[in-house]
Amino acid sequence: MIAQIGLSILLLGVMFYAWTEYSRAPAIGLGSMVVAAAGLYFIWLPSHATWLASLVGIGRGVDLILYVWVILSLMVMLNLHLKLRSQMELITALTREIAIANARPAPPTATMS
Amino acid sequence: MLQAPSSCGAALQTGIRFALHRGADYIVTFDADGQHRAADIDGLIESLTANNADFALGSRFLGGALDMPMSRRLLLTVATWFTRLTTGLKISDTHNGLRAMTRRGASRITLRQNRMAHATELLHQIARSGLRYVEVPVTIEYSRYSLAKGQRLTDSLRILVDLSAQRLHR
Repeated sequence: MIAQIGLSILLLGVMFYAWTEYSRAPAIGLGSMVVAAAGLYFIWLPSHATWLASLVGIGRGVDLILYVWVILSLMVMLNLHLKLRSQMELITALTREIAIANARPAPPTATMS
Repeated sequence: MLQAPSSCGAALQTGIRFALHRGADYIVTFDADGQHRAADIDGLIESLTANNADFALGSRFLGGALDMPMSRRLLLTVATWFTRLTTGLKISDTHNGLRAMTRRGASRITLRQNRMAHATELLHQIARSGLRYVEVPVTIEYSRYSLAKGQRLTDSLRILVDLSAQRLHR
């Protein structure tokens, strides 16, 4: 029971994180919420996890829950990657403005006679 | 002179912004690896005015591609079909850096892709703008230098990753 409560709190945290990210990255936010909800479901109804695991050929229900965690971790990593891309776009925009503001005439080039 | 440490797409957008800022009527983009001919620029600008178009896209497959390796031809053929499918543009070439645009066309371009995926992104934005575009035959001369700077299969995969990632976030 203690493990179930602990994992549920963690998954609720993941769902909150996914909800806050939804407006910026809808696909990641929605996907994370669905996977976290599936995780919550399987934690409280492990027999269903076992049934579903055997149905898809995983073996044990606990393995299925583990896979759910792996998928969640990958989605969080993808989200971090997307955040880095957004940061890079911001840096590019700033660099662009600085470059345009500091543009100066090109130095005269030597001509061949 | 405009100096900014950045990759290809970012530099292109900076150049376009700067040219618009300076009041340019036409903007030409041109690769700096020696594969393009400056003589083709006249044809691009003439095509814009003659066809009342806002974008003139250079096509090596309508013009010429000197010393193009077979692997590059194959890669570009696949990339062109991918671009035709995803943008709806009826084009014969893709990722050709030699192109011209009017002030109106350029003001509709906002490249977010800093790296090589900008060439596909630009075509998407041309399609979305609904403005008229034409293809113009140009000649590309491949050299050992330009081939070393050019794109390989791994770059194509990176472009696909960049384009997919852009669709995942705002």
